[in-house]
Amino acid sequence: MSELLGWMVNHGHLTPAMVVEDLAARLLHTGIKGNRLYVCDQYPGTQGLVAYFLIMDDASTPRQFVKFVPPEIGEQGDADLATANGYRDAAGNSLSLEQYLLMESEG
Amino acid sequence: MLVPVDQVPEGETTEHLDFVIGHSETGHHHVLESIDPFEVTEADEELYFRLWEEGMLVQKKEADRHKNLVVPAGIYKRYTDTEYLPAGDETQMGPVISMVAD
Repeated sequence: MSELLGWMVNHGHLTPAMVVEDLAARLLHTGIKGNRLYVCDQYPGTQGLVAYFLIMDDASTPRQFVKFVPPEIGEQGDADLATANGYRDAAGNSLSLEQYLLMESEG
Repeated sequence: MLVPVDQVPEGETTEHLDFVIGHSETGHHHVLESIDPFEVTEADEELYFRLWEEGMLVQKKEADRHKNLVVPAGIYKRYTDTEYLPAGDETQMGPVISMVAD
């Protein structure tokens, strides 16, 4: 479901605001760069799965993106940390929070 | 994503005027371009880029594409955006973490 949800948001069929409402999500944290971390306490179609997701503004267009986050990262409640963690090198190491905050733009 | 780093490790180095940074299943690749040659080094499956002059990150898409991003001269390491699916998919139990192409 989340893959379809992400596709629909990223292709303009759903707005992030609709996703937040549909999932009854609540805002946890707004990062320094504006990314917003939300939590859904009861992810639809699951037995009590708590799901975390980011709403991210595209750097160069008016578009917004929804991106789900692993729970061990989301429960730390930091949108910037969650964003940084989403970027990995070939070995699977994530971008550090410090590296992410130092970057001027995300390309 | 290109992340500034201090140095390039030992590896196989080639010279380019353009290089696909991120592949897209739909063909909307992200390409690093420069009018001046830049070096690409592969070390332990990681990719590093050394630009002697400014480059440009371009999305190869006809419409609704990202604005071109200037990449200043410097050394960079490539990081890839990952995708997490909280409910998994039909064939796998639990969360799925995969590398997204675009």
